[in-house]
Amino acid sequence: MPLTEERHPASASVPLTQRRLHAEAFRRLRQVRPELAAAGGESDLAALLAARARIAERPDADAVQAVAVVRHFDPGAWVREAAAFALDLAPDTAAAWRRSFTRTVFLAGNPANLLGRYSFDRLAEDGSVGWCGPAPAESSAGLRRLLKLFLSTAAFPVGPPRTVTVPAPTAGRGDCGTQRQAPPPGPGAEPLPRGAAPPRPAVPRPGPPPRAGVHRDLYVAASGVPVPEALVHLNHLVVEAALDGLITPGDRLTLRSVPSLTGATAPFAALRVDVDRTLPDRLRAFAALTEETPDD
Amino acid sequence: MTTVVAPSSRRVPSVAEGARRRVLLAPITITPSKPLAPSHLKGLFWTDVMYRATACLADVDYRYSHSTYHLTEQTLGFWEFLDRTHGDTGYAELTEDDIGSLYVRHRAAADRVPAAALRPYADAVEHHGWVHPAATRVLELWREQYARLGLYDPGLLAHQPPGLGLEEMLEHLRARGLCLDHRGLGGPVYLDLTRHGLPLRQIVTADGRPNYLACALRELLPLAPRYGEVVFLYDPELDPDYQLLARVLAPLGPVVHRVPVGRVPVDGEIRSARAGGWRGLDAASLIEAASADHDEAAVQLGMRLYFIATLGPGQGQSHRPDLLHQCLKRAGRLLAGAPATAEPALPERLGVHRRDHTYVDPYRLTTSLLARRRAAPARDLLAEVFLCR
Repeated sequence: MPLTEERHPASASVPLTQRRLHAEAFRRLRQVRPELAAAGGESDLAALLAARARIAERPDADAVQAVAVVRHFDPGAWVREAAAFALDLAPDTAAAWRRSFTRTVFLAGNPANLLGRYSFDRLAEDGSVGWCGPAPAESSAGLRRLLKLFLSTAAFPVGPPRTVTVPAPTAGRGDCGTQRQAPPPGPGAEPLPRGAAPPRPAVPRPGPPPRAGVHRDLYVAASGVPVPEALVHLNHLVVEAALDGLITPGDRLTLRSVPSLTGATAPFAALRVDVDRTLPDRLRAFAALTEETPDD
Repeated sequence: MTTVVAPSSRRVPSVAEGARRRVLLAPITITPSKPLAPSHLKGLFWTDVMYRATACLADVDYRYSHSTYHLTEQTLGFWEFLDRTHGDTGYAELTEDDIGSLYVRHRAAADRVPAAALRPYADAVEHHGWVHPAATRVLELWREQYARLGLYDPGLLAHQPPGLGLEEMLEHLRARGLCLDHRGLGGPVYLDLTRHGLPLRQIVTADGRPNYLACALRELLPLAPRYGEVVFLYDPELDPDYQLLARVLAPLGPVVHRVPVGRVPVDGEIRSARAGGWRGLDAASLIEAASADHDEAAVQLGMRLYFIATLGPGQGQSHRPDLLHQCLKRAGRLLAGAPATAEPALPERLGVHRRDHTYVDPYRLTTSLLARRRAAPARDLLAEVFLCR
């Protein structure tokens, strides 16, 4: 279960202590599944883990998950694509996904080889990643049978900072992720996962008036974190920040991978918190989005 | 039997056409780490009869290269285990039962060693055609058994490296959009035929170990364009992998046929050699028992009658020593009553045991020997195909 905290004014410039991480984790749980967060109290990590277990035992009847088919992984490009995917979702789809803790399945695959059978709600221009859903798990069962979970034993790379600009949505909210495209006839054709959107021209989005793009830093903890795990954390942070309005089209995000976020005191607008694998009785900040910061 | 055809048309070749056609038989190899068990013998007899019969009608090659498959972890891991746990040992003195017992211990130990520990072995195979003496010893023993059973030796001890290196093979796949290579991300390499609705299949691990499918591709990609027909013989549980292979090779020209040959259960159970349990059922024991009451020709023919016609293509029939004994006796009678030759000529008699392919179906051919209402098989057929000279 993801444990990302979102904007909270009181959190600005507060060091990332266990107390802070714990508060952030529970805040997110309360926001998404308040009935489960309250059930076991919020006293300690055990209560948090118990709440997670309850969520696993009693998944939301309307649970949905997105599917990302990964051909290549470039961290900066991923941030851009994940934000654009989330910003393109219809409000009701976004709400359902939020309630499912923005669960996303990462599969190894080449979207270009799948286009005859499946279509994607978003396809990166370079074909490096294709997105489906969010939708009930059964709608992507065929795709998941065909592909394998994205695997890597390598640690998340610590490279130079990389700034990306969040693109404008490709369509107005409300019509994305609902189209279907018939698969070609022939043996082996699988039912489509939900969602099939052909390329569409950029159109103005309904809803709140767009604000001017801002710049934020996006930190990822790399030490001891394999690529697939870092991808999960980064993805949750980015898509939830986009769904919550922290990231909007035109924003500039500077991805900074660092060994750890220990000691960070930047005013964070969102945090991704989970159990520390090597110290399972402690929480760790795996990714963080800062408040607005000047460009370098 | 299942076929993948190139875009060219599919039709029954005549005998005359078949004689000009080039056929590649590519059975799955048996890791030389244990005695040959009934399941292994069944596959070898099926391939042998197919090879000898088809050779009367077409140009046929029997590709069986241990050099290609030594690079799999199954083999390299055993060699590393032997050197780590037994050091320098006189393997030439050991029996295949001794070596097989070591293999069982290796598999039971299940100690997965790092890729770096296997690298010297892989490099030695690649650069020097090196073979561990334990494997050489097993192959030498198998060669003796092949001779006694009249099995064609496709080069058990020959150095027959694959035509492509690993990277060359991956480059070929990449150029055709069939390779998903995540090594740069610390992940594996996959054979990607999802375009055809076939599942993604890992062929190289994240730490660089190729599996047998990667080895097969190194060998078969350069060979396939030279043939009009490629025939795979393999264990049925490997069918998904052979579907992938057929899909990769068919666009290179040949018609690809898949011939799964069921394994031989013992007391209703299909056993793996990695668990042992072959005593009394291994090739040497079966040859010795059969030779006690039958001459060499009857053993060679009787074994073929049993493993091909009696057990059939499936794997529903457990090993039955009584049925094997009946087949040996039947072979003796067939040999005693065989006329020198028959009409029509041998190629025509063999040609009827084909369908839409050039290769001769060993099951149809061998069961025809037992048909009670047909003329007794002639000695030319028995000599050419069943090696009963």
